[in-house]
Amino acid sequence: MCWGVPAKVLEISGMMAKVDFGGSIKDVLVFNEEIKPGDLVIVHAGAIIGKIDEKEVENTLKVYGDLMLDSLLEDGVDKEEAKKAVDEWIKRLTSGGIDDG
Amino acid sequence: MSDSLDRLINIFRNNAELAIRVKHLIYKYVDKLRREGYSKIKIMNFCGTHEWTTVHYGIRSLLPDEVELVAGPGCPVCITPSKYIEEVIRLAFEGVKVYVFGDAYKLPSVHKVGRASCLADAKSMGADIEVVYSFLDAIEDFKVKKGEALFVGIGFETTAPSYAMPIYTGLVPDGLYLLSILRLTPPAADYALSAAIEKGLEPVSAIVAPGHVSTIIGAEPWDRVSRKFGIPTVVSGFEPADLLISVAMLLKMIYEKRIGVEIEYRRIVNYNGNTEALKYMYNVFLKDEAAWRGIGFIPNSGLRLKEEYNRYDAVGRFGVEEPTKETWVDDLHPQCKCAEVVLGLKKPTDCLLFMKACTPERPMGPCMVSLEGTCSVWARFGGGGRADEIAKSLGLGE
Ligand code: SF4
Repeated sequence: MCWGVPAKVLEISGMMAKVDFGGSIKDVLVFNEEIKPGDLVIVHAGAIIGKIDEKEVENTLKVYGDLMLDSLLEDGVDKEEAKKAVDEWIKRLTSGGIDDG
Repeated sequence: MSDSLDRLINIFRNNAELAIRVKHLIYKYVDKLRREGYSKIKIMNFCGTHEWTTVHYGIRSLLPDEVELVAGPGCPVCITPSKYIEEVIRLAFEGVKVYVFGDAYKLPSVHKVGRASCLADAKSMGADIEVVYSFLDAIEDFKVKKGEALFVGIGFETTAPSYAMPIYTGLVPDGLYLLSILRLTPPAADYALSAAIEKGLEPVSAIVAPGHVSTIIGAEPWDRVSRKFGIPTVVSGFEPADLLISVAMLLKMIYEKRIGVEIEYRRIVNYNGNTEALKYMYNVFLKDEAAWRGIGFIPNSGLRLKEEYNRYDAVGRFGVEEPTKETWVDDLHPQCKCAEVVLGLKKPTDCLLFMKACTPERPMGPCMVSLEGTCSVWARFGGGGRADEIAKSLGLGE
């Protein structure tokens, strides 16, 4: 029941927004004034519950990057090398270059 | 879809490399914890969608034996008291039009009303019951209808603002009434964590907090639950990589003896939540002690309409008889173990009816109905990701 589906905001008029779920267009409620056309949002039960912050996607990966760095260091990998490996790997991920299903 | 959505999905879903690397980390942390004397790490989730991801992607079979992922109270359909369903069936037979989410359409009542034991039965006997995707869709549909209608308002904090905003802003047409059966998750989490301790079971060692509920309420309420029980919490997203990263974060927190909350699902959750949605919610509703199916009353765990919104309240308008503490009786089929399943004290395969008398096609208990009910998830994808659980329950193998 708490399913949330990502969608893109097409237009806003007052309390309502038109969103695109990847082909299917629907009118939904908006609670937050700062939501703008073009935003990526999560929709639940006919309402936009929040905006996907793309900057934070990278931050989530940084959390993981830090975990990974710890692990490489413990494995005895040289600090600079480990950092480089983690950075490169995150860059590859965020540029969408990985699709190995 | 759009490039940016594709990109997100590629990062957190279709990404075997990320999954393998996180799994490697998880094993490392468990090794360290083992050396510190930990033999069991019980991690509880509070969202049916997390259980769905866990089972659908076989996350349990990726984890070391020491790590047990347990489903807690995470499905609002599963805990809706039978009495409400019986009352709605009664009203539907009396001619009131009923709107309901698809997830609750087959929710069984313990007592039959007429010959119906769920809303789907009542519809097949001629009652005017319509499945809708949202309160907003019910509003749109009802605008062109006459008479009176009732919306079955099931849900947790994720759904509550979608009822509150139309009421607050006057979008709801005359004649459409809300039956609020809204429930709040942190009080239920508190209840489930205490239940494991009281029953002398392995206490919960860490929490995966519900991402979409937390989009609304923020991470702060989980910080309080965490501190009360002295365990770490991570608010997690719903893609398989999100869950694996959250488990790794929790293991690290346990190893470093840190309690409190961290947010993995940062791309949408913050510490204070969606303050505008919360404003609508608490302008329209107030907290009250509320009944949970099979469990009973939990303090401050429900939302009812404030007095100034009486004119939208189905309880007053139709004389809905709500369960009370004085009259509360257990409302599950005698053999159904849903209450324990919901509290994370038992697994679906511990129930004798699981996949025998009780199946997704013919549910006997509430956890087998919603797409996010633990029994229904296990039934459709095979035993919590470990096929041997099912084999064991069927008497095959050990
Ligand atoms: S299998 Fe059916 S009867 Fe058993 S606990 Fe689950 S929902 Fe209840």
